[in-house]
Amino acid sequence: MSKTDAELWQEALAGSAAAWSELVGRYQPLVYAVSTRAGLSVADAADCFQQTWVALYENRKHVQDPSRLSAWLVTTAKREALRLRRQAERNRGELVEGEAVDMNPLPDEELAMVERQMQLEIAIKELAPRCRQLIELFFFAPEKLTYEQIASTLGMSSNSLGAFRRRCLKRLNEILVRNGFFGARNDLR
Amino acid sequence: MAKHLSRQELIKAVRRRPFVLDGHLKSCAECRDAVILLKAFDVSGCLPLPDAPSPWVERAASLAKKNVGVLEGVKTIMAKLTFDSWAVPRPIGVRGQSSLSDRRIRFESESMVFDLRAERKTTGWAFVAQVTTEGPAVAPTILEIGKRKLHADPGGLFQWTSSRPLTSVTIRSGNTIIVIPELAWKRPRPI
Repeated sequence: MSKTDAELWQEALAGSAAAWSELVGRYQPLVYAVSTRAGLSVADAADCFQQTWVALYENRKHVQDPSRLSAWLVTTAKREALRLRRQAERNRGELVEGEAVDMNPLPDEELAMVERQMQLEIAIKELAPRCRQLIELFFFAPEKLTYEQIASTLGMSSNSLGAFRRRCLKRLNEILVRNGFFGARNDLR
Repeated sequence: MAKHLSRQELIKAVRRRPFVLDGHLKSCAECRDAVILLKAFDVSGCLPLPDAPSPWVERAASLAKKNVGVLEGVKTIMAKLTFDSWAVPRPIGVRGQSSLSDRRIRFESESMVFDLRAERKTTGWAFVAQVTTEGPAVAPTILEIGKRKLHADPGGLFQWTSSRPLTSVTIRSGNTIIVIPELAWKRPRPI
């Protein structure tokens, strides 16, 4: 079983470079998604990505609740992206005095959805391989698959697929509860 | 009991506005649980979030390694490349190889500018660098190049030679560490 954010965070705070590296690996798609959705150049997106992690590292003693790590990263990356956008606009000289730039390239609803998706992906990665495959085939495969096709891909009969799916969803739910997802967002349940 | 909902039907149920649990979902706990769980995320059918380029991830992951054993309260800043003479287009007539044996690079961070000039010699490379800060420097500035630690000369310049081009530099001043992104030394081909 992989470690929770809280466990990794405690180890990172104690100076474990491996725990820090695992946290970066876990949440890098989230920071990357925010950095690349703000309409920044590749260089600025790279800068935004890097500065977000530097900020987390520097403020590690002040992050009280590691279950809110994803929210912290999203907020910091968004703030950094907006700062870089303003800077880029100024450098290009496109800003006429008094003119406002579109400072909402990252709507909160979109960021909240990216954050939820990240949490779900982290939880799915913790499932046993066959469960993970089932969940991905059922809910995330880009192509449309029938019940029979999914059963055939997993090498099981259509009759036993329902019970297996139930067990996998139950396990996924347990992981999400353990990771504090529902605790932080009771409104979604 | 009727057959469970297919993948498409489940996703359709998750995305339906307004969200209602009717039909098969009313009587089937399995499908209902699936839809309610998926509804919490509203991302069913989405492609997974893509990974960041691996050099970006490696650099972020190495933050902790670079600071092992460093005292608390130290601030680490990543400097940003703002000028590279090798990346600047040259006018026709001055595109000779000789101009490529010199390189000027500038990095900036919050309150510091790092200027570097490199010259290719027959036996290696000669470097001269200058670090300028906003306002008076509060502590002596030290350049760390690999295991070497350099202090500025009375003129405020750092000068050194090396058989190889420079790849990593860290600037230390008091409690601030400025990390210069890794430098590539592949020369652009003259046209």
